[in-house]
Amino acid sequence: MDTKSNHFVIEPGSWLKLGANFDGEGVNFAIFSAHAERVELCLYDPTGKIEIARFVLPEYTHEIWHGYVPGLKPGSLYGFRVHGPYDPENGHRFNPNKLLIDPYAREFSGDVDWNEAHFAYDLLHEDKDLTFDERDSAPFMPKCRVIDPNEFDWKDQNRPNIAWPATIVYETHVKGFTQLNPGIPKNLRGTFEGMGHKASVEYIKSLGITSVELMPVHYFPDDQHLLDKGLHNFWGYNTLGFFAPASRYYGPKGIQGFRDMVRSFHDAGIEVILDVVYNHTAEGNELGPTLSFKGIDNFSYYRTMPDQHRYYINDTGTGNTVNTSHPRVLQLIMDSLRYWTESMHVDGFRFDLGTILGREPQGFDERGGFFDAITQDPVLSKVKLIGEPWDIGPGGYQVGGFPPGWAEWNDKYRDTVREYWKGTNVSTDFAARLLGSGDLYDQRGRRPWASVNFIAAHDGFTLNDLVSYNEKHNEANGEDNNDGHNDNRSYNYGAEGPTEDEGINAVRDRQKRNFLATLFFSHGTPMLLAGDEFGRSQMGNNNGYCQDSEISWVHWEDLPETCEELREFTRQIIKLRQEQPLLRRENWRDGLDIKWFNAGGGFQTPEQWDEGSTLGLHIGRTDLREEEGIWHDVLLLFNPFEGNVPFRIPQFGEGGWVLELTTSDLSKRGLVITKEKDFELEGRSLALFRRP
Amino acid sequence: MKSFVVALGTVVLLSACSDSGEKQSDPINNTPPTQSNNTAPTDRSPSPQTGTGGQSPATSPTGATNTTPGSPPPAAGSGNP
Repeated sequence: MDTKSNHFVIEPGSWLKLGANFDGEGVNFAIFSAHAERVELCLYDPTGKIEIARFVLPEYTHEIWHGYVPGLKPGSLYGFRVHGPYDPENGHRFNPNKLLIDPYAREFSGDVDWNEAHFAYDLLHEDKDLTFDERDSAPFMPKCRVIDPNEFDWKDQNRPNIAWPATIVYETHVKGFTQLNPGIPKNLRGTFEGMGHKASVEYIKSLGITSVELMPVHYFPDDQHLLDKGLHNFWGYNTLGFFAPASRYYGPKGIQGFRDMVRSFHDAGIEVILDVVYNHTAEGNELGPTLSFKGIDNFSYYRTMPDQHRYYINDTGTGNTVNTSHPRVLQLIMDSLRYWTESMHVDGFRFDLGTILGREPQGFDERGGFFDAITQDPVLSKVKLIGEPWDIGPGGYQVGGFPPGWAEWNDKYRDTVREYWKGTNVSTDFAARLLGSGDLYDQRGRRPWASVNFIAAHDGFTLNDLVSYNEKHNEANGEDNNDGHNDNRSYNYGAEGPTEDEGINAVRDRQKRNFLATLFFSHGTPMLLAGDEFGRSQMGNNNGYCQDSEISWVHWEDLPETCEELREFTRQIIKLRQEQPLLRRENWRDGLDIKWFNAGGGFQTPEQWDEGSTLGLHIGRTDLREEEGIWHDVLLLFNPFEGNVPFRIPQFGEGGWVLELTTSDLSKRGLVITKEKDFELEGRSLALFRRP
Repeated sequence: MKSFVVALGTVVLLSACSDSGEKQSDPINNTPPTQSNNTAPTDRSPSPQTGTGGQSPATSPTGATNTTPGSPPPAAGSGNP
């Protein structure tokens, strides 16, 4: 025992449950490391600045170091120092001078206060990470906090359990959504409590949203290079603690604010989905800091280059890649997911760069360990699982390649719908995307909901900017506008950015309605980017990851009248989708009649598909005829071109057609067409007809 | 010979009924086939939008330094033993 042990003692404890676990009388510590030689537990005073005890974990069982401290209570602060070889060329980077955070820490006190001491090597030496740094990083590290995960009384189990076919996802950011919302008390803005405030929840509910998808809320540090430029990591795809909420979003109630937020959404019948980032960590490449995994067992936690273990495989583009092929790393991810599901009551996950998780030594494998573990898990297999089905490694593009049970972000939908409304000839593909992308997902019993359809997401232009800018404008990011994507498939309609030109603004407003109507009338799962329902702008910035500023925050006040009109329009079309089964197909084999028409009223010909023509789509289900208030036939007309098109309304069946809405004129509703006659389908517009 | 003709006629009639029944129950769908395969392509470029954000690829995403030593390009994803 170390002389710093104060009045505490340490006992062997148990290896069975990783992390720091309070049993009512003391705390058991257990940490995995296959290559460490010794692990020290450091206890801190409540300020986190003074080390009050240090113990060598006395036992090593099945590659897990463990010990038990009687009398230690929730609220105690701790960290680890891990001894072992510092041998980067063989993949080992142990340096006990660096205080390390517990991969299973459920809460943190403090933040990473960047300092040269965070690096295991001499930053100034020409041999870089082949050198060894002896400076103590503890003063600059957050400390892990022991918590009692069972202390919160959830009362009723009120999970909404929204069926996939009825799901409408709303992607948003805790701070971005709340920071400028005047309906939220100032001290709660930017916090979990602000996100769970009734002003947030009731607004989202009023849109018709069923599931809120929160951008990363796991604990993450700011990148030093951003801080050096006066910027911050706003998005948070930079996880350091997979079990801990990001304390930057704490309000007065601290961690309980997260649980209160979840309960508030559940009370309103809305699910909470977390965007999770298990593909990489905040420790960067071989020149990055040593904060946790790198110093605990670098060779186990990360994928290193074959035969050059000093370097990391970088399939994520962030410097490192988590090694999900290792069973203990896989366990870490599963335990984390289960913790958020069972102890924090979230309803699903969106996996950032999800392809990474299916990578095995031979490449992506949809029967890899991660997917197998999820599929057989009695808890996780029942929550919503959404993959971002790509990474930047070889064979990383896997849209349609995830296993049954998963939904996927469908970038083909995004790109095709953008192209279609620009007037590009993509009609054939547009047809498939509109009908749920069966070419991608109608296999192995996967359902149309597997396609998560979206026009815009956090990464890229907002909907408003998609129709307002030809080029990205990321100058505020400090990289001379070199960051962010250039392939945006956007169009400004005559002026770059905001304009006083009424004609241009009218076209932009119409195009926003076209995109939204297409999104909510498409089969699959619609995802709306927060603020797109009223035309939020990032002023042309398509990579707001470092903009914790008014560029990224949602503005709620002093909006033009057109914003409110668009918001009402969005509510209207979401309501239609929720009420009408024809607009949210549940099954590929539901007996749906699907007929594509040309503007002359006849069936689309192969030549017309090739030419990229104006389209008419009839979908109908005879079994819905007897249901009160439920449409059994609808006719959708699409004109992506600038000029009007006289569209001959096809007449078949009985009763003619009633115009439910057109994006060209919101007041033009109720028109009845009972004969074969032309309907003036205005340029760049969509029209929805139903039976009377 | 007569019985053969009757039997043949029955087969033709049953066959016609069967076809007719399928046509009546099958939904109409004149959606054109897309060029996409039923399996995800594995050899095309990744999506232009990766979701993680960050600096342009030439620079280091974390740490105090912005230059990366001459790391060889990554091989196909491999996991450490």
